[in-house]
Amino acid sequence: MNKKIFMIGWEYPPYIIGGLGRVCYHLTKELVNKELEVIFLTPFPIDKKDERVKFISPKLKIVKIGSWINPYYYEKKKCNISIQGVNGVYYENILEEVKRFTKECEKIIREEEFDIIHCHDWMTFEAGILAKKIKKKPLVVHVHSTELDRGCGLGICKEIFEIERKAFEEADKIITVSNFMKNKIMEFYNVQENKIEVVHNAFGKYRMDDKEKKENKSSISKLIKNKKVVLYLGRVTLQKGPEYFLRAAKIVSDFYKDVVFVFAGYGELLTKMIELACELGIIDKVIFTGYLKDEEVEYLYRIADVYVMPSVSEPFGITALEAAFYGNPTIISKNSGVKEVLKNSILIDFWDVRDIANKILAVLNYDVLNEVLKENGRKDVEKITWSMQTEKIINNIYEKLW
Amino acid sequence: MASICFYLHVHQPIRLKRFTFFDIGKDIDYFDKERNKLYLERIIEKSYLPTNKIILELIHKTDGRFKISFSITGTLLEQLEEYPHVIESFEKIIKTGCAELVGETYYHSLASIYSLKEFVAQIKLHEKKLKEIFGKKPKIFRNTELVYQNQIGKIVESLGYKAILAEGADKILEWRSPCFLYKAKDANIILLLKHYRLSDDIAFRFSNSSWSEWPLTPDKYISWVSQVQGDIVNIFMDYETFGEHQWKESGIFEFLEEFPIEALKRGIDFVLPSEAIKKFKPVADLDFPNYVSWADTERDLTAWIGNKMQQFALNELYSLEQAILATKDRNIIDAWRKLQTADHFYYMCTKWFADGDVHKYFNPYDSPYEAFIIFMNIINDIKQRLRGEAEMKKEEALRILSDFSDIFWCHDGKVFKNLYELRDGLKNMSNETYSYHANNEKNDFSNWVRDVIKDEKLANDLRKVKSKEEASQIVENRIKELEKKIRRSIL
Repeated sequence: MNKKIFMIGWEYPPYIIGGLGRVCYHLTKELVNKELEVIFLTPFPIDKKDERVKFISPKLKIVKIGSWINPYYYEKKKCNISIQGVNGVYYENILEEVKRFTKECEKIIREEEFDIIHCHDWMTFEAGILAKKIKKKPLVVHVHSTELDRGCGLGICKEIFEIERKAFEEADKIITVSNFMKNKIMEFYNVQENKIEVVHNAFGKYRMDDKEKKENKSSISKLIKNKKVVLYLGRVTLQKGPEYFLRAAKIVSDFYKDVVFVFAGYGELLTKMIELACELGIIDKVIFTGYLKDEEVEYLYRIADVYVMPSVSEPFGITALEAAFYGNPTIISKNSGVKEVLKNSILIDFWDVRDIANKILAVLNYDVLNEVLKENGRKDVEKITWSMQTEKIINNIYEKLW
Repeated sequence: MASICFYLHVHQPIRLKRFTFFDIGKDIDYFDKERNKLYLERIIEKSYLPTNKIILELIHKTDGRFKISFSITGTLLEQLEEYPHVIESFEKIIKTGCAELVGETYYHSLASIYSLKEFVAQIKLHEKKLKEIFGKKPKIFRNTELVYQNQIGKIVESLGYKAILAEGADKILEWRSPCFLYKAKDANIILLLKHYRLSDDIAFRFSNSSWSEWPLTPDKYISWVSQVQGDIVNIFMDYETFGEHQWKESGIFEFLEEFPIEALKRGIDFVLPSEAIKKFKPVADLDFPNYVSWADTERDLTAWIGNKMQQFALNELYSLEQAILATKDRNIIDAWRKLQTADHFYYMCTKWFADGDVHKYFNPYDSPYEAFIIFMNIINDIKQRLRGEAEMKKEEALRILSDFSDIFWCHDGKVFKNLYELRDGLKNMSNETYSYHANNEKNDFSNWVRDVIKDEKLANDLRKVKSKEEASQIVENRIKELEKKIRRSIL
C-alpha cells in the first residue's frame, strides 16, 4: 500500500500570500507523482468561493477548514480586524485563531490514517504536534521563516517564538529552506545540527491554468517605454527592505536618466513607502502596483531589466529564482537563502544603499554584465527542480522515519 | 637519467580598490594600497622568506648542484621595493650562480594576445627592472601563464632570447614526450615544455588527502622522476606553492628541503634553462597553432578570456592603448599597464562555480561580477580622464600657466608665483629644502598646485614623485603639455 503523508499548510493555491503556498503546491504534486498519498489540510478563507481547483488526483485529498488564518494584514477591509496586532504585522487575534484552527484539526486527525506528518511554519506547528501525540507518527516540520526573520530585530512575539521552539523540540526532523536559516535556528532555538535537513526551494510555475496566458496589455507598458526597469517585488514589510530599495532608487535616478522603478507588492508599509518616494523626490519615477495577480507578476518579470531584493532577512527568497528564470539579472541580499542556489547573482548588504545603487548602475550601464548574469542565473535556476527536491525529502527524511 | 629543470614563477598582482560608480571622475587612485600591503606581508612571511631560506641552504648543502630558475614579475618587484630584505633574499640566491632569472612581461599581462607592441614594451620594461635590481639580463623567456603560440616565439626570438618555457600540453605533444627540447616552428628559439603531471603533483595535489598517492614523499616523487625517459624533466610552478597554495602544515617545506637531496642521491642532476639548451639538442620542431596556457584542464585561455565580461573588459582596456600612450603621462600609462595584469581577468572567471575551488580561493571579490563592475568603473574613469585632458580649453591652459597672487613661500626664502618659477626653483633648491616641504607627512608643492593653481593632475603627479629632480621634470612636462594645447588652439 502507498504511504500516506498528512500535510498541514496554511496557504494553498489559489490563495497564495507568499512563497509557502507555492512550495506546498509543488511538493504535494511531486509527492503524488511519486506514488505517495497526501492528505492536505489547509485553512480556507470562509468568505471565498473555491473557484479553481488546482489539480485533482485520487491520491490527493484536500481538507479545508474554514478559518480567518492569514498572518498578514492584506485584507483589512474584508476582515475588519485591527492592524495594531503583534508588531503591527499580525492580526490582533491571530493566536486565538490558530488555537481554534488547531482544535478543528483534531477531528480530522482522529478520522484519518497516515504514516508521517509534515507541517509548514508556526501556524500549523501546534496541529502537527497534536497529530503526533494522537497518532504516534513521526513529525517533520518544514520551516519557511521564523519569528526572528519576521521580527527583523525590532522585537518578536514571544508566544510565537515559543510555539516554534517547542515544535523544533518535538519534531523528528526539521527541514529548512537554506543553510542561512539552518544556522539561525541552530543558534537561536538551540537545535542540534543533525536534526536539520536543508532542502532548497526550486522554481516552478505556480500558475496552474495555462489557458489564461493572455498578452498583458498593461498600462505599465506605456510608462516604461524606452526606459530601463528596476523591479522590487515582494510583500511591503520591514523584512523585505522596501525602504532600502527606494533609497537606492533615489541615488540611481541621480545618475541614470531613463529609468523606472517598479515597486510591486502590498503590505503594511505601502503607504509609508509612497510617502517616502514623495519625500525623496522620485515619485514620478516609481510605479507602485499594489497587489498583483500571477500573470501580472510574470509580465513584470518579463519586462524588468534588473531585479533587486534588499531583504533584511530572507530565509529563502523564491521571487529571486522566479526573476532569474524570466531573464532578470538579480541583485540580492547577503542575508538570504536563495544566494546558496542562485550563485550567479550580485550580492549586497541590505543597509548599504549606496552599494545597491552602485550595483544597479553597473547592471544598467554594462550590457555585457546584464547578459552574463541573465544567462548564468537562468542556468542556476534550472539546476534544481521540485522533482529533485521532493526526492530528497522522501529519501533523506521520510524513508528514515517511517 | 633525465635532468631536472626546476622553475618557479613569483608574482603578486596589484589589487584594485572597490571602485564604485560614484568614484568615476573623482580622481581617486585605483589601487588598494592597504590590502596589497596586507597580502604582500602575509605572503612574505608565509612563503618568500622561508622558501628562499631553504633554497639558499640547499644550494650550499649540495655544493651548488641544486639549481633553480625564477621569474619575478615587475608588479611584485615594485611592491617589494619597500621590503629590501626580501629582495636581498632573492639576490643572495642569484649570486650563488646556481639560479637563473627568467624574463617575462613586467605587468604579468596578456599583451601577447592583444597588442604585440605593448607586449614588447613590457618585456623591455621587465629587462630594465631586472638590470636595475639584480644586474642581470635574462636569456630565457616565459610568457604570462605560459601562454604560447607560434607568433610569440618569433617576437621573443627577435628580442634576443634563446628559449621559451611553455606548457607540455597533450593536445600539442600528442604522442611526443615533454622530456626533450623542441624547436619553435618558424622561429629559431628552443621550447622547454612543462611536465605537467610531475609539476602538478607538487603544485596542486601535494596536500590533497583524497589523492591516491597522498602523502607524497620525496622518495616516491623522485622514483617517479627517475622513471622518466628523456633528457629533461621540466618542473614548473608558482613559487607561492610553497607556503601559500600548500600550507606549511602540509609538510611542503620539508618536501622542498628533501626532494633535491633525494634526486642527487639517485644521480639525477639539476640544470638551469640556459644550461639545458647548451647541453641538449632539440629533437624536432613543434607547432603551436593556437594559444596554449598552463591553466586548468583545458590548458587554454578560458580562465582569462572565456566569458563575455572578460572579453569585453580586455577589449575596452586595449582599445585605449593609443590614447593612453599619447598622453605621455607616466602615471596614467602605468595605471593602464597595471590594469593589464592577468589576475584582474581571472577574478572575472565564471567557470569556477563548476570548476572547483581553485579559482575561488584566489579571488578577493565576492563574485566575478563584483570584479567586473570594479574594473569597468575604473575603465570609465580612465576614459573620463582622457576626455577631460583632450577637452581642456586654451583659456584653462593659459590660466594654469599665469601668475598667481597667492605665492609659494619656500623655506630657503625664495618665492614662486607660477609654474615656471616652481620648475626652476625645484631644480635649484637643496635636498633639505625639498624634503622640508615634501615628505611622508605632507607635500606643500602639491597642495599649492592643487589649492592655488587648481591643477588637479599636476598636484597628483607631484604627490607621487620622490626627488626634487623628478618633481622639476614633472612640472616641466606639464608646462610643455599646456603650451602645446595653447599652440594647437591658436593654429
